[in-house]
Amino acid sequence: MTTKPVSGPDTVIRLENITKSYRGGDSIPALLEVCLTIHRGEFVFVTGASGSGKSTLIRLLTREIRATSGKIMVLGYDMQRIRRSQIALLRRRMGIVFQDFRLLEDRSLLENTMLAMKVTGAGSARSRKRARDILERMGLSGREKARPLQLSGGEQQKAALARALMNSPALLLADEPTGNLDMDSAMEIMDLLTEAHRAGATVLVVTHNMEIVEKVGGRLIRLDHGRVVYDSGPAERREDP
Amino acid sequence: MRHAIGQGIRGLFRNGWYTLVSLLTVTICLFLSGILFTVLADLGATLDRAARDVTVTVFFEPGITEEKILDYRAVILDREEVRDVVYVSAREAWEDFGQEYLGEYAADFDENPLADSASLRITMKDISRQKDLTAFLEKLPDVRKVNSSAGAARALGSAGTVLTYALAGTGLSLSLISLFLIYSTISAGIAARQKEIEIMKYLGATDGYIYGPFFAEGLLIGLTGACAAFFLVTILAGRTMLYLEESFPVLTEVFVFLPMGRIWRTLGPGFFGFGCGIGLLGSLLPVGRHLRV
Repeated sequence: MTTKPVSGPDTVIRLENITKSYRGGDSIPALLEVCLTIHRGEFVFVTGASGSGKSTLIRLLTREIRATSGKIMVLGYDMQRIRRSQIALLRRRMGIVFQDFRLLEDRSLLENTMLAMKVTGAGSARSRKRARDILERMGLSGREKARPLQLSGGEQQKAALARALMNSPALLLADEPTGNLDMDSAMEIMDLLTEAHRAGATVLVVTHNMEIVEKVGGRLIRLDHGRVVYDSGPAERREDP
Repeated sequence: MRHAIGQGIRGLFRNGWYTLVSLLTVTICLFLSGILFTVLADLGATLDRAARDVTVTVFFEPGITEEKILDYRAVILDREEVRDVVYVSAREAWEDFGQEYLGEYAADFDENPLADSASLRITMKDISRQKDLTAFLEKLPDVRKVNSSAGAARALGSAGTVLTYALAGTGLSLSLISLFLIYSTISAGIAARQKEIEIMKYLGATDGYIYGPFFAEGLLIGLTGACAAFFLVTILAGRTMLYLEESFPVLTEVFVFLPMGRIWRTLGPGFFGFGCGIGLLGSLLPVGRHLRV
């Protein structure tokens, strides 16, 4: 059953009283009664110290894990009730970027990028053309045949971002995308994320790098011990707490 | 489908030795089962022929009329385990005896010394039921004596049973070993591709896209093993039969060698069914265990 969004069509993410506790962990939940709404076209930063619940939030949004209680809607899907077969369809509408890039080391940059479209059943020729276009946009033209380990960290993250953008995602999730990069490379990645945002994607970036947050701007949500302690709000100009 | 088969073939080569060992085990399993089945089928045909030769003979009390004996013949012929009943008159019995043991001296006898030896000679469809038949015959009112070869019947029947158990036991043990090896091969493939699987899941790959290649890999191992065993059994059994017929022609008088075409009508579908089944099951178990979205 495909679930209907609880809010209007502009709501991309909605969390209602979300609590997540891990089995076998300590008694403190990773997220506690979190309420949050993110609308289409927003650029959102989620910050917080280690253990604040940032990564748990990302894992809930990708449906890698299920919430202990509460309700999550992502791109119209009720994540507590979503069927196994629908998870794949949902993820095709998302682009996900990780701190550790998660590129396949035995494949070329082009093959890594193409994979995002090939898993959807697209043909090789179409995937190749699209991958070349996006890699060019990322400034990786001429590096298509290189293996990930032949590239710098910044280039690897650009490739990961290229792969995330292959299916023109409605929602782009980035989990510490600049965590392993120097400031220049980090800003290049943020510029590309901003470009994707301008092209129409809703972007949610988890980071602990406040310098980047300052430079890029956008909505800021701060987590602490699993609770939202600050939210600049969707339409307001943010003031750092 | 194309993706699953292509990746499945790639997986076969990627797993190298694991694939080879699984393939050899399936081949050996089917080869040995095929050889045992061939021997069993030949033995079955030999038993069938022997059953025609093993007879039960019924003698009647003196003075019984031919008409009465023929009535008994009809009663015996109705029994399920009986193939045929031949009436041997006293005169025929004496002629047979004379020809076999007396030769020209038989003509010296004016009277038939076997005057009361008219009998019914029974051949059976199922010689393992000879004991039941003998018990039935001995209870008939006019029966004087029943001659049977219980020992031969028992020996022939038990040889078949032993071989059937051997076939089942060997087949089962080797099937379990094959299953375990295919399971290990697919598990190793999944472990080697764990990172790729995780990434594909994040990119929105369906279960079919991820699992398909592993099913194809298992299926290919099973089918290739079945094909290899098919050719091995055909070549080996064919050549063995030819050699035995040429070198030991006396064996063909004792044993029945069925033509391979007749054996393959049963064995062929069995081989390919087993190959597909063991391949799919060997993939299904690790896929179910290892892959979670």
